[in-house]
Amino acid sequence: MNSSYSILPYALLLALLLGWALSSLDRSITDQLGQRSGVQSLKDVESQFGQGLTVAVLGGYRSIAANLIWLSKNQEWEERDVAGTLGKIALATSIDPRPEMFWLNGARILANDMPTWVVGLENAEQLEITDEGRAIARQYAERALAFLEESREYQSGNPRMHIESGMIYWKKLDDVESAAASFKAAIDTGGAPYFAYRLYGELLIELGLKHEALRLLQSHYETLPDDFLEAMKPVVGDRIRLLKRELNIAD
Amino acid sequence: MSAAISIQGVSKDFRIPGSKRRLRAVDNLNLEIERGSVFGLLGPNGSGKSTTIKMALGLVRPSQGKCEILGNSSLESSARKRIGYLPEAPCFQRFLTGRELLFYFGKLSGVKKTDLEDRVNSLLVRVGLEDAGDRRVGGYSKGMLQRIGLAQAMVGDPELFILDEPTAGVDPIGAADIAAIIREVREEGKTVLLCSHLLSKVETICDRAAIMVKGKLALEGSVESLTAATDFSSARIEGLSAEGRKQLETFAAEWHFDLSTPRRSLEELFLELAKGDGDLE
Amino acid sequence: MKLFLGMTGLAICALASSFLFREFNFGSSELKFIADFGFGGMTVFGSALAIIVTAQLLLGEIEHRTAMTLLAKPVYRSEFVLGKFLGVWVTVACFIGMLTLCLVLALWMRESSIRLDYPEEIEQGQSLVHYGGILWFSLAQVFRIGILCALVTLFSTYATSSIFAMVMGVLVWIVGQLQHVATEAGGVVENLVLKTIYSVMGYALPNFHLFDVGEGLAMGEALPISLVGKLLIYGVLYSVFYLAVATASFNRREL
Repeated sequence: MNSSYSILPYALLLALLLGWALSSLDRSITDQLGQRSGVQSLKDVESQFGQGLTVAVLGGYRSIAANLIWLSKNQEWEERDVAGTLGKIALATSIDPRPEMFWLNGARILANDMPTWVVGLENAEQLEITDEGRAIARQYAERALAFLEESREYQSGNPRMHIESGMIYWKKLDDVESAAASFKAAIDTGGAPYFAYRLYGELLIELGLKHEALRLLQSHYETLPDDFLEAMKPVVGDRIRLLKRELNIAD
Repeated sequence: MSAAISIQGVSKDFRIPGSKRRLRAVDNLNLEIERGSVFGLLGPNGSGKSTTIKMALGLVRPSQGKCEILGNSSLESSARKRIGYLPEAPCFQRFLTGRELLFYFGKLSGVKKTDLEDRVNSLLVRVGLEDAGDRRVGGYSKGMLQRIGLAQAMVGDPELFILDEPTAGVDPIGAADIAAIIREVREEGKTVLLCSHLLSKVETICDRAAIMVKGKLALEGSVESLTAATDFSSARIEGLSAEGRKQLETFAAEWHFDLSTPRRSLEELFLELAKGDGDLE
Repeated sequence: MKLFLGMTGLAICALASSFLFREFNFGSSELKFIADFGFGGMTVFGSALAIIVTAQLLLGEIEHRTAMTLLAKPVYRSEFVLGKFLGVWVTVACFIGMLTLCLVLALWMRESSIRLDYPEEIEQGQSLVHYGGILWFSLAQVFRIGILCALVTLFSTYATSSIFAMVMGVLVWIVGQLQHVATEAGGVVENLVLKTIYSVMGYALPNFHLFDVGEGLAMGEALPISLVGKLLIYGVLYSVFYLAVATASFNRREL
């Protein structure tokens, strides 16, 4: 027999006091980490996969749970199941919205693959030829853009989301102005890859803003390394010379 | 000088789970154990001996009364610096060797590093485990566990030993060795509180003894006086003077009956008390 | 020892299994998978080890009566409790250290092979994995496990069986992970009884979710020093509190 139980009520009271005292520290850490509540996520998980997965969502295996769902989505992708693939993408991003891969690949599946599934692979050219096909392509491109918009909350400071939006506006919706705005947002965010500058330059040229394009490419050229292929310094240099010739500016 | 163990008005109640009733394991116990003696604490199972020992060691808190060890409250950790305890059926960390175990308890007892190795070696010899000191305790027999238990009780060179069934599971030779160690320890001026069911052993080793029955102290005194019992069924003579005794002896000689006061064993006394709920007939 | 080795083996197997998962994208996705498995192993297996070993270590001594002989020596009960806690915490910290080493090795091996396969895609001197971030994550888990060990130590001081202490440990682990949900839910629900329950859960238990500092650490996300400091303070305060209560509880326990 032991009388240790007698201190439990006092311990609970003290624990509540400590929790209250540390709540501000708790909030400070949460704000710094930028974490979000999991309430909605857990409801989604329970409705789709049952109680067992709830535990897997916790702690270190939250990412793994999301990763496994993402991998399992490949099954629906192979079967060209629009609803199933959409569901898995939504679930993976709700469990763990941090990996950019989920958002980028999800947007690409939405914008590029799903329209083809809807019309059928053998009728893929209809997406560009017929009004109905173009409407389907536009519908899924806008869904992809909305999906990327959702990512802003979790991926602020990531230029790749803006780049992806830019590519969809440009290639799927033929909206050069919005595409250019997206690429500018990517560059302004910082850390944008080299090709973002080149593509932004092309978009500015398409919009007729050649002087602005030249200024952009010239300032970008100064930052490019000489020995890195992906930087494509010679290509940028050639583009600058071409622009100068078009604008009758001496070298 | 204070007594080795002083138990004053100590009672211990335990709550019975699922009931408001309490079980009184020890009831208003008063006991003084003098320094430099071997004291036997006896009683049937459930008489409160182990609870009394645990209160003496501070492992259990008395519900009433106070308990002092060598002048200090038994609840203080410092009181245990000068105690060596051997529990009943001792259990030790199975993965340690006998030597490692003694080193471990030696450090806990505050033995200096410089003295520890010699002390451990001498203790292993003293308890007859010099060949088994490097074997894991998990592989020891019951008798070996008792011996290593006694050694760990001695490692801190304590003033007071509390030994609960020290010869349980030990062969007669081993039991005799342990008894010899207890006598040696007494001759060194230390105090031993001995708890045992082997009453014949207690009778030969102890100076004084107490018998507990149902949580109460039934009898206490020197072993000599406890075992000097009269056969009340034969005669009961009170207040006999020296002159009266002479006349009685003359009368007995005339009538051819034996007037000597026969001794009975402690075991007989114990059984009489235990069966009779603590009352002598 | 067997449990420690068993958990280590399991965690390393889980980490090794991550190599079986191939993704269409090269590089950072695959490395992220490996990192996720490693981090998951640290938190799940580390937490399980902490709960089981703490309960067994303390209650095992009481159940096998070795505690009686120990506490009959001049050993304070607080020393006993603290010693058990530190023993487990250091053991599990070593486990996390070993897993961290294995994870760093696994990521380095895969990163090296990616560099060999795609040399033109990766800028010279650019690292695909932020190894410092992995160390920060491991450190955060050590703080989290300190709190968990202290809690299970507390349960062990009044439990009569190690199973009870383990079950309580698992419950607290789960509820602690959901503590931030309980706190938010307490602010959202209107039912007074539920509100009270959620609020009590929210305040009475530590928020283990804070220590999910982001698996993105391995992929280069920064962790400010101030945040590490706050997590350390949070972890230490809760651990000290639970250990203090555990000591008070054990002082009253009759052996």
